[in-house]
Amino acid sequence: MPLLDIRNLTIEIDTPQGRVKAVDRVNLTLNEGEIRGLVGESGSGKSLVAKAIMGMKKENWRITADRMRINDIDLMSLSPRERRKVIGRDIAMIFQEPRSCLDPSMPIGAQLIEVIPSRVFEGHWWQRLFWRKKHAIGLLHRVGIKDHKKVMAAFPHQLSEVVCQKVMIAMAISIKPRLLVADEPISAMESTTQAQLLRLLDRMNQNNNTTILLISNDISTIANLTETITVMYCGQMVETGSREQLLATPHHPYTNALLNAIPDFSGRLPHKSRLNALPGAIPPLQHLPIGCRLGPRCPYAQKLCVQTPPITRLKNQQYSCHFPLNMEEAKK
Amino acid sequence: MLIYTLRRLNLLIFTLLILSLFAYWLEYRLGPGGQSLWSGYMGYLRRLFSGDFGVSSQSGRPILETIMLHLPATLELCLAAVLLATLIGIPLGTIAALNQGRWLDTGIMGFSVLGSSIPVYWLAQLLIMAFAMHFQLLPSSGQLNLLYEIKPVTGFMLIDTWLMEGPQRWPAFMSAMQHLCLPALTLALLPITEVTRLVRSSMLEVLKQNYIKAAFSRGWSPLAVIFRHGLRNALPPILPQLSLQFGAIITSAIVIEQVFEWPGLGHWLINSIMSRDYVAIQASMLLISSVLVVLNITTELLSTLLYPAKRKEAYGQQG
Amino acid sequence: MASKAKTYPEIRIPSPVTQTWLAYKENPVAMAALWGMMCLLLVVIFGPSFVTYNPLQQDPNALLLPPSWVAHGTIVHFLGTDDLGRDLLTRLIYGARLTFGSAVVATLIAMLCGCAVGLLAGMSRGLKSSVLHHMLDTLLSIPSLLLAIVLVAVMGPGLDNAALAVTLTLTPQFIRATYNAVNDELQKEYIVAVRLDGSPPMRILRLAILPNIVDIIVAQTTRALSTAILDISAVCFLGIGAQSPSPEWGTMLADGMDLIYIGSWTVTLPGFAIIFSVLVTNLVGDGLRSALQKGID
Repeated sequence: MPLLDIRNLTIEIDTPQGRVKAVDRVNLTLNEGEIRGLVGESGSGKSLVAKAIMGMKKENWRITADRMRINDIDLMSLSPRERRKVIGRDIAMIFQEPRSCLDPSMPIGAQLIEVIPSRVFEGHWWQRLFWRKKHAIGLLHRVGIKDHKKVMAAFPHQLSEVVCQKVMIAMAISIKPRLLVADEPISAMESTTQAQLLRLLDRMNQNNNTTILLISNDISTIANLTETITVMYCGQMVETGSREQLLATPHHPYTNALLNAIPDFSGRLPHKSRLNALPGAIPPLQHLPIGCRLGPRCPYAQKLCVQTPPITRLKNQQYSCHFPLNMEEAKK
Repeated sequence: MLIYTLRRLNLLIFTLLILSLFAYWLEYRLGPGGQSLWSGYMGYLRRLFSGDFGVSSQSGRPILETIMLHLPATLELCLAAVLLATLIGIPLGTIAALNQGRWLDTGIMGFSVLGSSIPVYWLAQLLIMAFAMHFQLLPSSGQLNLLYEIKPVTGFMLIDTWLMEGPQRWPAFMSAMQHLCLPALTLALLPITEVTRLVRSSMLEVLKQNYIKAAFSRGWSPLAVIFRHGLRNALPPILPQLSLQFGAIITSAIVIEQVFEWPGLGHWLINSIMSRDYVAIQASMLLISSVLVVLNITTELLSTLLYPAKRKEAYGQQG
Repeated sequence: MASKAKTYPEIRIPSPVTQTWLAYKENPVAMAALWGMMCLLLVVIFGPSFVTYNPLQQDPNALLLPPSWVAHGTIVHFLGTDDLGRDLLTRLIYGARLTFGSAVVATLIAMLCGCAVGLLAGMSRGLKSSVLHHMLDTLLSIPSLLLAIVLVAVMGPGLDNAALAVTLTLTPQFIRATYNAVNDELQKEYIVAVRLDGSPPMRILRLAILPNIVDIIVAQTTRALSTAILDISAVCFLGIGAQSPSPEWGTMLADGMDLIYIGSWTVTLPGFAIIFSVLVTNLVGDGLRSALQKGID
């Protein structure tokens, strides 16, 4: 039984130009203890999917899904209050720009203590006194902050982004979540600190068996960590597969383009040659092409591409393309 | 922070000096002349510091004593209005912000615009007409029913009646409450609308912030998010603007005291103007403005203390 | 330049003024308020020449007549009469000139003086501007109505003195608003660019700063106008402004206070007149502010 099971999640947004399908029939299945990468350009709807899972919908959104389950709880059928309860118990989320996610008017310690639920209390009743503070210090140690005294008393603007993100992670693990949604947690950071944070996430996954949905716009940074990767483009899921499959034999042209876009500096790049990139830019939400949304930018596009390609499953690798690349059958 | 406080205090002293100069100029222009402006001003300052505000030409009593007699009534009225304004304005503004763009928001904002367009003295009369004359629910004038004899202890009628002993204590307290009702309500209307508008715009700004989204992602209810993170971030930035409301409240109080015959400073000030008691006019103006200046600077300091992120700006301005 | 601009007639970015107007037109409430304000201005200018009664003419045969839609009212006195038999409609129309008209004049004068001083002060630096800053802080710490009351007390009662006092209290607000706006604008990069081009200060002021602070001045003007209406009528209500037979709205309200139980319309009607004018001003101001905001975004 998967931990998170989403079928045909569609998010429509009402804009002055009419209703737009910002996320179009996305499937996502996460098994317990898995780290799943969700990759796509900015504006491809990754964050929307995360927000839909967390139930953070806005006025002008319409979310529909055939199935959206955490464990065996159907999130779509819950009332907002019940849903909040489920999310508060089972799911935690960390964001990009962690400093802005901390209340600027409160010291870190108080904020951390505030989110610790009483259900994680273990011990005798006489230990109740100060247990939250002790617990908070323990959490900070677990995310690799040694100088807990200074950090607990500090305000967010006195700390660096990395420490803030570590605090956010500490807050997230304080509820002992089963699923951690990490929405671009490492974007706009230095690469050494990126590696640090990723290691931290990895350790959480191994020690606590926390399932992680790791959202990123850079396939190369998260490829080492994740077992399975889902690639999204313009609100459509284009390809899902294990890391090896995806890196070695990408079937969808977009995945291929993403992989090619990582500059290879091993010397094979001719002098003054153009870097590999798809032509054009990601279309605005109001002007999405019909059919396969990559169509106008795809180098392999044909007439058939104006119809939405169905999701094809091949050896645990799913893709939605009429003319997949790297097919072994084609070579035969 | 120390330097910042010193700078503010410096500004405070400077402002008070200019105020006293202005007040002295009033007295100099209108009172009996004779001395030169400068030596007269020095003498005036010396008298101010020794607590001598002069003698009322109308009653012949020292101004300071008269002011102290009237001040508690005005303060009682103003504090009641401030209390009402915060108690009603903050929730209204928050509700409007949470329902932005919906009919509830539109309704509250409409009420706010309408409320700020109503002249207070007119509203006072309408309320008197409705509650005092038509329904005969509440008294229309004065601070207390004349039946009761109150020994002034603090000057605040509510406290004095509460401190009173004997069987009349409770009815006297109730009477004081009833008398406070209409004036305080009228006085509170303008600040309520202003507080509502300020809280709404500040709260909208805060609700856009990431930490609010993060708090929602923890599965907290909107109420919990507002109480834990919303208000504590939305209120400090508007504190300085709120303190400006004291000025509006005090001036409305002058007018309202006239309508409700409330024996406060405003009532006395208008009477002094009518009888051309210039010593009294300049003294009360000096006093009211000084109180307001002190209030403004205190709230500014307070909001800097409460809102650490603002401290950076405060330091930045020095550089 | 002009001929070049015509070469590409199809690319027409509307001027900021047009853009503001387009945004303003979208807002029905603000449009209604604008029409209301137009009507009020028309009444102020032409109203008195159309009424049949004299606002001070007493009629002992028609004392305290209620408005025409109430049982004993007559159409001859459409809004009824007061305790001396004076026609209320006539008095209100004359009062519009006194209250609203004098408020408009006071605001305009305050705006002209305040903006001029504020602009000059904003362009100057150092001790001069610092002293001005502190003086303004002090003046602004005295609430406008209190200052107006004190000034009227000094100058003596009368509507013109009340209007003058209100003008004097509004001017510092304009100086402050303009001063701050100019200062903010001077911090921006494009001013540095203009200065590097070698423009003299006056040219910078005229071509670069003035167009960009118009919205702040407009917002301040509408706010000042509503303050002026309320303050003038309040001063008159307190009996230290226009004196009794005058049909000024605040004075009329004060006169009606004794009659509130037998002739409530003598109190409610002037009150509605004041509310209407202030409301219309506030709504136009709100609409303008949001329209200007939209133009910037």
